[in-house]
Amino acid sequence: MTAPLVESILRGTFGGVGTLRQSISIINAAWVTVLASGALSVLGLYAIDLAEAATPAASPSGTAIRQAVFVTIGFGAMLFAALPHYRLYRFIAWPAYLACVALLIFLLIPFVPESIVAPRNGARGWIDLGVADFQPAEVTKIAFTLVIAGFLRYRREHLRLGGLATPALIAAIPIGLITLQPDLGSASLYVPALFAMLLAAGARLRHLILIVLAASLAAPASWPLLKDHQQRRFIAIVQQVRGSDEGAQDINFQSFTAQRLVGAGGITGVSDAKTRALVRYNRLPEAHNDMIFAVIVLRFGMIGGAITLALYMLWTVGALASAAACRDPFGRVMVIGLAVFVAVQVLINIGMTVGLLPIIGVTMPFVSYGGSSMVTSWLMTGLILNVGLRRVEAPLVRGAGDELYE
Amino acid sequence: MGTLFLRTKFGRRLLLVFAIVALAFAALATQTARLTVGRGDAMLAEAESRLIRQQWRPTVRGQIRDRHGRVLALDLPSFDVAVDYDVITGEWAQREAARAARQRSERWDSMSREQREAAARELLPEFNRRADRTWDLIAESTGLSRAEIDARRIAVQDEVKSLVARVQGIRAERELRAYAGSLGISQAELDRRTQALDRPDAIREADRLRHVLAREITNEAERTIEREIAEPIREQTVPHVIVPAIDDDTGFRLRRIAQQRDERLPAYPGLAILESHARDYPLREMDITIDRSRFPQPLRNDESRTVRVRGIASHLLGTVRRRLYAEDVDRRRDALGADPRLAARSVSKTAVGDVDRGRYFPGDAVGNTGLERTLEDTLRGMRGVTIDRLDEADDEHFTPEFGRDVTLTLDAMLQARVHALLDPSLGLTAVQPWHEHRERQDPSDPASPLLMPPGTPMNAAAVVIEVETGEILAMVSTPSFMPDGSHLPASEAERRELIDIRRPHVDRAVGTPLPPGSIAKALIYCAAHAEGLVGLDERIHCTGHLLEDQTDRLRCWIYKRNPGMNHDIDLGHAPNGAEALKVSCNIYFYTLGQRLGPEGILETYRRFGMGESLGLPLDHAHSGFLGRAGDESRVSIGDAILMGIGQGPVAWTPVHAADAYATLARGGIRVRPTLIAGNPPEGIDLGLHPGAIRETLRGLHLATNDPRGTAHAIPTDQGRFNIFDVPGVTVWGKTGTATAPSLIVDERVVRRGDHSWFVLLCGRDRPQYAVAVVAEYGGSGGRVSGPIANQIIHALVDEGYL
Repeated sequence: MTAPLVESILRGTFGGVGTLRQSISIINAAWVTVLASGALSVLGLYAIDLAEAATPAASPSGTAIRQAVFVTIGFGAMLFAALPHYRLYRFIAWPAYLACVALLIFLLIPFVPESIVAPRNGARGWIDLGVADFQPAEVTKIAFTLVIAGFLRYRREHLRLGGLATPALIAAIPIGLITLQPDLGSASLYVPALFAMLLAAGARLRHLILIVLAASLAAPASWPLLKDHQQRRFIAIVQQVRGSDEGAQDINFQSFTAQRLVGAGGITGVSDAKTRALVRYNRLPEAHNDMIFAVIVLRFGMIGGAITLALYMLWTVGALASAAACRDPFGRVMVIGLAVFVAVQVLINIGMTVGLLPIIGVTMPFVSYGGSSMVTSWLMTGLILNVGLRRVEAPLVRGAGDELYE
Repeated sequence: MGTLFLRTKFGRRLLLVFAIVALAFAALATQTARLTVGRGDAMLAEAESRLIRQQWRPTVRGQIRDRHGRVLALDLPSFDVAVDYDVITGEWAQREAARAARQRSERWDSMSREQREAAARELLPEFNRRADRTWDLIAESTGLSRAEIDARRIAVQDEVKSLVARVQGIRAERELRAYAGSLGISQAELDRRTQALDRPDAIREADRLRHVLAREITNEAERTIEREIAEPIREQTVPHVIVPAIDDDTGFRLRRIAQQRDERLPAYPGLAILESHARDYPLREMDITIDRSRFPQPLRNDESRTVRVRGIASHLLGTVRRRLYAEDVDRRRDALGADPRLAARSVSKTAVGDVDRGRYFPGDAVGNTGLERTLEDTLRGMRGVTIDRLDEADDEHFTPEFGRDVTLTLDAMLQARVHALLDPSLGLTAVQPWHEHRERQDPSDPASPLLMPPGTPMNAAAVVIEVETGEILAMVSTPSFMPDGSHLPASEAERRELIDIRRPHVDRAVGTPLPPGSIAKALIYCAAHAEGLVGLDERIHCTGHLLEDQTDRLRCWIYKRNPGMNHDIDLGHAPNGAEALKVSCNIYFYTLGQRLGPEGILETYRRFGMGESLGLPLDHAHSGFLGRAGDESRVSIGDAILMGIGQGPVAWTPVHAADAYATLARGGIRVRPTLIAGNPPEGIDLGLHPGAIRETLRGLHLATNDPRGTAHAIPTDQGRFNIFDVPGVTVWGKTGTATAPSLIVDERVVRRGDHSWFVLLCGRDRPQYAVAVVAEYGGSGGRVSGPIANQIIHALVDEGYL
C-alpha cells in the first residue's frame, strides 16, 4: 500500500505510463547545479571560518560549525524537495504564498515583542525561533516562484499588456511588505525573477521593454519614498563612482574596506593566517555575511574570485539546461525563476562588495553565514534537481508557452 | 538538438536570460580583476599597514657645553599635560554620547536615524560635562585660568586645522604634479598653464592645478589622488600639549589621576601626562660682580657692582620650538639624503621598511634659531621604537639613542663677564658727557638738543678670538633676549623702544655688517706692501686733504677738526706706515687705496675673509658687504680711495674684525674662526711680508702706547686718563670711527653719528688674543669702545687667560 503511494508522489500523478524508472532521468544537467551548490557551501564554510576565527589556532569557529549544521540541513532539504514530483508543488503554492505573506505582515505588526521579532540594523526581518532566527523573506522567494509558475502555466493573459497586471500584483505584495521592513536588498530580487519567468512563459518582449522604460522614467519619483538610510546609500555609491573619498570613514567605510581587501588578494591571494589577520584588523563589517566575497578573494586572489564566479555560472548553466530539457511549462518557468533569483542575488552581493553597487545587504547564496539563506538556497537546488530528474513528458494540459516549442 | 532547440522561441529566450546573466558576471569579474591585478599591491600595502602598531619611546636631545665642559643647554626630564585631540575638538563627547544612547536604548535597532541622533543629543551635555572635568583639573592643578586653558585648546585646534589644510595642499600639489608627469606634461608646461589660468578664485596652487588638469584627469586617478590627500595626519590622532613642563609633584599626581575610571569611562577623558624634556639653559642668567675700581676715571668706584646678566649667549645658542612645520620634515628628509652618516645613524631597517628614528613628532623640540638650529641633526636623539606586527608573535625593538653632545670653544664665564661689561647700567655702553657729541646734533639746527643725551644706552657687540687657534672665546651682542620673552619691559613705550631701536634679537657680533672705518687701515698697509705699492719706510705727506685743490672732501680727521692742521705739521715730518697707523692718518691710507685701485682694494678685503662665509655654524652669520649692491665685483677709483680708510662700499662684523687682526698676529696666516671645539681649521698663508707685519704691529703698539697715539688716552674734565692699564699686558690696538647712516624709525631720526670701533691684540710679550668691540652710534672709537676693550682685557686676566 505504501509503495503505490510513494510511486504516485514520485511520479506526481496517479497511474502513469511505463515503469517508475522510465519516468526518472538519473543523468541530467541539474547535477551540475547540485555539485556547484556543494562546492560553494564548502568554500563558504572555510571563508566563514577565516572571517570569524582570528588565528588558525582558534579555528574552527563556532560560527563555522553552526554553518556546517545549516549546510547539512540544507542538503537534507534539497533531497526532500527533489523527491516528490514537482507538479505536486502546484497544490501547495498558493497556501505557501499566503502563509509567507502572513508572516511578512506579522513582522510588521508594531507591538510584537522584541523577543520574537528583534530588529537588526533597523530592519524587522527576522523571527526568533529560539535555536535560530528565521527570515520569512527567504522562503517567500520559493513560494512566489511556485505561484507565478503555476499561474502562468494555465493562462494566456500575460501575452497581453493588461494581463501582466495580475503577476505584477502577486509580486507587489511581498515586495511591498519586504520593503517596509525595510529590506531593500531582498525586495529588489523579485522584479528580475518575475521578468525572467514572464519571458520564459512567452510574454511579449515589447511589453516587458515598455515596462522597463516606464519604470526607469518613474524611478526619480520614488526617491522621496525611500528611507533616509537608503537614500544615503545611493548617494554614497554615486559619490564613490564619481571618485570622491567622502564617507570613507562612515557611510562608505564598509565598501572601501571591502574593496581594499578584495584588491589586497592580488592574483593568487594571501596565506590563511594573514587573511584572518587582515580581515580582523581592517575591521571589515559583516565579513562572514554580506561581505564574504572579499574574504574569498583576499584568501585566493583573483583566481579564487574567478573560480567562485565560475561556480555560480555553473550553477546557473545547470539550472537553465534543466529548464531547457523540461517540456512542462510549470517546471521550466519555475526553474528559470529560481535560477534568476540566485543569479541576481549573487550579482548584487558581489557587485556591492567590489564597489559597483550600493550596500543593500543581500547574502551570497550558499556562502554567506545564515540558516534561512542556506536552507532556501538548497531548497532551490532541490527543486531544480527535481525538474531535472523527471523525464520529458507531454504536458497534461496545453497552456501558455507551449507554442514556444513550435 | 542544440541548434534545433535554439530555433524555438523558448530556446532563444533562455539564451537571452543566460546572456544577460553571463554579461553581468563578466562585469563582476572585470571589476574584481581591476581591484586585484590593477591595484593589488597598493591595496595590500594599505591593508597590511593596519596590522602594524608602532610604539615610540622618548629620547634626549644632546647637550651644548662650553670649552670647560660647563653645560649651556640640556634636556631636563619633565612632564607635559596633554589632551587627546578628540577631546580638544569635542568629538569625544559626541562619540560617547552616541555610544551611550545605543547602549541605554532598548530599541536602538528599530530607531530611525533622526531618533538615534536625538537620543545621542540628549546625552551630549553629560559627556561634555565629563570632558570639562579634564579642563577644570588642568586649570586647577597648573594655576592657570580656565580662560587661558580654553584659549590654548582653541589654539591647538586652529593649529592642527591649518596644518591639515597645509598638508593636504602640499599632498595635492605633489600628487597632481606627479600625475601630470605620468601624462607626459612637463613641469614647465604645467607652470605655464597654471600661470595662464584665469581663475582668481583658485588661490591655492593645488586648486589651480586641479583646474588645469580637469580635462586630462581620469575619474580613477582623481579618486586615488583624493584618497591619498584625505588620509588623516598624525596630529589628528595624538594628544597635544596644553601645559608644558609642569613640576614633578603635579606630574606624578596627574598621572595617577589620568588612570582613574568611573562608570567604565575615563574619569578625566583625554588627559595624558607625557614624559617629556624641557630644554633648559642653566647659564642663560648669571649674577656677575664687576670690579669698578679699574674703570675709566669718571666711572671709577671702589664699590664693586653685581649685575644680573640675562640672555647670556642667547643669540649663539638660539632657541628650540615645540611647534613643528612641514618644512622641518622636508629638511630632515633632505638631510638624510645628503648625509650618509646621519642616515646610517638614524634609519633602522625594520619589518615595515626603513624607519627614521629621528623623525619628528608633534611636540618635539626642534632647533629654531642659532646653534640649536644648525646643529639640529647632531643634537637630535633617536627614539626607541617597538614594532608590533599584530599577526605575528615577535616584535622588533630598537633602544633609544641620546642626541650627541656638542662642545663649543666658548668660555661661558668670559662670555658672561663681557656681557656684563656691555650692560648700560655700568656706564661703559651708556652715553657719557666725556664722549664726543659733535655728530649728535641736528646739522641744520645747531641749537637743537642732543639726540642721544648722556645716559642713553648703546647697542654693542664684542668678540674675543684666541690667536693661535682661531677659537672664539666670547661673542656677545647686547641687548640680548630671553627665549620666553621675559626680557621685554612691561610698559608699551619701553617695549617699543627696545624692539625698534635696540632690537634685542639682532646678533651684532656676527649678524649685522657695519662699515669698519679706520680699523681697516692695518690691513690696507700690509696688503699694499705685499703688492709692492708702498715701501716699508715710505713716507707720504699729509696736507690735510688728499686733493690739492679741494679742501672740503677727502680730508684727514685732524684737518676736519682743526682746519689748516695736518699730520706733517703735527709730527714735524711726513708719517711713515707705522706712524700713519699711530695717528690714523687718512691721507696716507687714501693714497694707498688710490694706489691699490678698485681691483686691488677688493682683493685686499677678500684676502682677509670679507664677502665669503665665515664658516660659523650660525644661519644668521653675515659674510659682509663688499662693493656696490648689484655689481659686487666692480667699484670705482673713488670707492677705492674711500675703502682705503674703511669707508665706502664695505661693511663687516666684529668677528671679521677680530679674525683679521688675529691673522696679522699670526704673521699673515689666516685661520677661520671656529665655535665648535675639536676641529681645528687649516691655516692659509696670505703671503704678507714679515717686515710689513712688523711695521703694522709697531704702528698698532704706538697707537695705544705713544702719547700721540689715537688709542692712548681720553681727555676729560677730570684730566686725561690712559685707556689701557692692565699691568704686564701689551696691547696692539686701533680705533675706528665709522661714518654710518642715521637710524630712522617711523620717519624720525632716533640715532645719529659714527659707529665706535676698537680692535686690539693683547698678550704677555706676544699677541695672544684678538678683541673686537663695536658700539653702534657710539661716536669716537677711542673714547667709547677703547675703555670697553680694556675691561675685556681685565676680564681675560680675571678668567685666567692672561
